[in-house]
Amino acid sequence: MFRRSRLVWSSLAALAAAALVLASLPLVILWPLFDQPPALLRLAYLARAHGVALTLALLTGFVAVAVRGWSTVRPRPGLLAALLLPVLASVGLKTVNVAELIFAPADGTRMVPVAEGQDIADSDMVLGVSIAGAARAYPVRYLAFHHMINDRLGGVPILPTY
Amino acid sequence: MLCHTGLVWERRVDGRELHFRLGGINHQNFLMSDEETGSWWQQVSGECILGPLKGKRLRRVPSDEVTLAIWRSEHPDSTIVRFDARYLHRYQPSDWEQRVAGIPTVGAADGVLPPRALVAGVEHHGEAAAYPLDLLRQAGSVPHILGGRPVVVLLGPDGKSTRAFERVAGGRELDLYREAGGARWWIDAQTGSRWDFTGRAVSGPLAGSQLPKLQTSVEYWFDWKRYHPRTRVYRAGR
Repeated sequence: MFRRSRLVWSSLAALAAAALVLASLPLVILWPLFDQPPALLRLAYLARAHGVALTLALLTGFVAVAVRGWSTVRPRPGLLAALLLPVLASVGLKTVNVAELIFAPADGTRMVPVAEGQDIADSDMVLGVSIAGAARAYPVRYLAFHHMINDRLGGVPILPTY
Repeated sequence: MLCHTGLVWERRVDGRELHFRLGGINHQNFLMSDEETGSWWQQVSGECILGPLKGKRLRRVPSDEVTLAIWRSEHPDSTIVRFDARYLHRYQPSDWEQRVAGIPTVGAADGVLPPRALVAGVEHHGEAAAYPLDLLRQAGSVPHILGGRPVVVLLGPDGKSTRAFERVAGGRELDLYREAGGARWWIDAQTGSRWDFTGRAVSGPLAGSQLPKLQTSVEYWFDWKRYHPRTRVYRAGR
């Protein structure tokens, strides 16, 4: 009986630890003062690409172990909740793009003729593009926040970035 | 922003249009993720580094990084992107470069230039060179041979914008010098023609000629060096 209870708790702890790792891997590409090693970058990509499936598998495993070992876990609901929390958090984190929470995407873009008004000084820099007779200026101060804009100019789909 | 890299890419790969979103950061240069395949792309190189499209490269669209004053005078019919009212307090101030100057870089410093020295980077016929902006500000124009071709890098009349050209017109190699007492024109030693910042001769024997324009990227030295490991560095007198 003692051994079975230890097996249940250690399985739940292992699943919670795996969820923690999975939830924190995206931090690899959110910390600017760090020279990302390629291997870690690859892990972060795999966590992002298969994140939903992996976290749901962890959650399913967690529930299955808890149900089968219900007599073991029932007396300690606090510990069960503490282990469940990272699993739920890792599932939740897969539904948000943290980078876009920090830098909002350029999704409400308004363009006007350059003679009609501007938000920046004449001495501020712009990224200027001219295609097939159509010209557009992207203020660097605008791009430095949104980082990119999915745009179209002169019939060409372009991506000004900064 | 931490790399000072302004580049425009075409959002089309093998005939398929892609839509990009911010993914994260990789050695101070941001990662883009496309909605169609979830692949990760490096902003500064346009290269797909992870995912189903790994190895693909985006095509660069020629762009100009100049002050609004210069852009408007050269493209009076241009449109401009306005700030989004929801994020007015989030946009960088005009002096954002001074703030970034104090942020540590990643990777080892090389002693050639300070990691956050601004350089005008140019690639031509398979060769890359970095022209320190400090030098350009002193000289106004920097002549060089790059990829076996005579080139020149000009500092604009606003003291901030840079452009690079092949300094060849009418089959002749030219040496351009900033006109004394001003910053708007350059004179070539061979014919005495007067050139403006767009690379066009406005008067003199070569009036109407246009120098072939090259793409410049003004970025921090540590980043230019990482993506152009064999780059040359222009020094005064060379």
